[in-house]
Amino acid sequence: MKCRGYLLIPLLLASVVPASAGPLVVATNVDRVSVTSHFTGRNVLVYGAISHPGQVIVLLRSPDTTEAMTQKSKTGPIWLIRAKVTVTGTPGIWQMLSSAPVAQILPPATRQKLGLEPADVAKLGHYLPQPQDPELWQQAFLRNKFRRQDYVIHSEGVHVWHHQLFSAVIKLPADLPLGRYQLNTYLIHDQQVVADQKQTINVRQVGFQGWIAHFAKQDSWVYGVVLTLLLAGLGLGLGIVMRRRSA
Amino acid sequence: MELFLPIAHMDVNIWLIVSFGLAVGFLSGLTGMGGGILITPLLIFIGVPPLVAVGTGAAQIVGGSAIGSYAHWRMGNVDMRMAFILLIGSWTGGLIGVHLARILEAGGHFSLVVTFLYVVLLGFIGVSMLIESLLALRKRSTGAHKKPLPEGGSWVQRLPWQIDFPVSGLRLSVLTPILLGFGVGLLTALMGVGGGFIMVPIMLYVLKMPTKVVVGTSLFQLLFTTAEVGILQAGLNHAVDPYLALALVLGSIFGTQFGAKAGARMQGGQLRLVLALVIVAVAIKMGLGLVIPPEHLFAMARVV
Repeated sequence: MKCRGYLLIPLLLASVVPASAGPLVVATNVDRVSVTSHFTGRNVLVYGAISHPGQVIVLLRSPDTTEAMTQKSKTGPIWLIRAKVTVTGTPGIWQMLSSAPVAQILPPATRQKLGLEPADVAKLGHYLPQPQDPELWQQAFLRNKFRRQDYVIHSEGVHVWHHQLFSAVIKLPADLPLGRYQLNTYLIHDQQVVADQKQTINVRQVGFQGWIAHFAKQDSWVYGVVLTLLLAGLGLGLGIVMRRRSA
Repeated sequence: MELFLPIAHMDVNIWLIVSFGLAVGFLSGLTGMGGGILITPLLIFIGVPPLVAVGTGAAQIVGGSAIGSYAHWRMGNVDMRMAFILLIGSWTGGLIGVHLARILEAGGHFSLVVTFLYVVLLGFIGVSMLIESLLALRKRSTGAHKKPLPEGGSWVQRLPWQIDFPVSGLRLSVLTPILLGFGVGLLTALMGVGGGFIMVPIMLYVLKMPTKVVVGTSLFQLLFTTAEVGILQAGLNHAVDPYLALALVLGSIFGTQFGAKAGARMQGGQLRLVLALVIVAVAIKMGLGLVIPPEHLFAMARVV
């Protein structure tokens, strides 16, 4: 039902966008995402208006994260971990939605320049210790990212209405890296970028969830002591109450 | 109720975790065996990272064992001298174990080591319990008498630095409880278990402590060992999830109460057989994870 509601937003937008606005006007339904204990993912609606007929690409990129990758191999009857590589310098989330397959609407050089090729994203990461076969690890990195749906390519993810309005829904997973996300929207016509817009979405932990995650990380020893005392107190308190009740 | 776990970094239905606590607490109350050995595998099965499963597994035992330790201490069933010497060993073992876990995790081997340790230990415990309870059931039906306890511990009595343990009425080398404690502390850090399943038989059959003080003393040292390991796992490895630990403690306390009440009305031998089957099943499931070809040769986890 929520999605149907989203469909109305471009219509609303049409009534508020001034005729003198640029070739591409973009808005989102949120400019920040608050991660609470009950956070199980979130849909971000990107919508806007275009003055020229063309195709639209929406790219969301989170701050870089660190990933630990392992490779298993068989030793005797047992599958053991043969190598571990830490990958840094790649976005935790990378989602590209477009109104047509990006390879058909932009030449390779432009795709590369704008960072629209997942293979380039994987190649730009730092793999430590340096593996013997970097390409194998880059491919495995992408396979894992796409499987986990951290990386998404959806070539029918942007809907364009009457060559004037567009909307796209980006599905953010529950396990989100925190920080400032970059949202780039491109209007493409004749294999060229006619206009582009940048937005940021701030993802942060809030409330008790944010406090506890921060506490557990920054003051991990105090957190450990407090939690252990709390668990002992809970066990003791509940135990005494239950014994009295059953006595 | 879906909750996002701040340390395990995953979504989980918190009632599922409470039900794990309830089920394992129930089995534990039913049979008298601690349930720590089943909690960590269950957490791993639902996708909790092994280091967090182990750290949280140890921390939740603090809550589960607090009331028992307190009650035994009040009744004077704790050999304090023995408990403190055990703690010297177990705290050292715990400290080394948590550092070892950190090193193994950094090299990407922790998950495999934990799985391997569980398969060996659960397999051993499960199979020996299975044999024991089947034999006990058969003997009862044929009316055979119980064998006398095995004689042993002669080498234990020859170790140096012998001191008196008046509450247990024993004279022993301090090395024995220190070594025993060390081993148990290591297991707590690497597997998230209390180690009662090792501590109690050794206290009974090797150290020959009186049955009355065995349970109290082992629970007392187990409380403080798991507390130490819980603090170290949180402080050093960021591996104790608060929501998981609280939900498990809540579940296990209620589960233990129900289990103890149900246990009073059921036959011990059959209960142990049920628990043995559960343990063997968990060992087989974990063991299959080592030999079945993985779905994906490359795995990935976000470093937080």
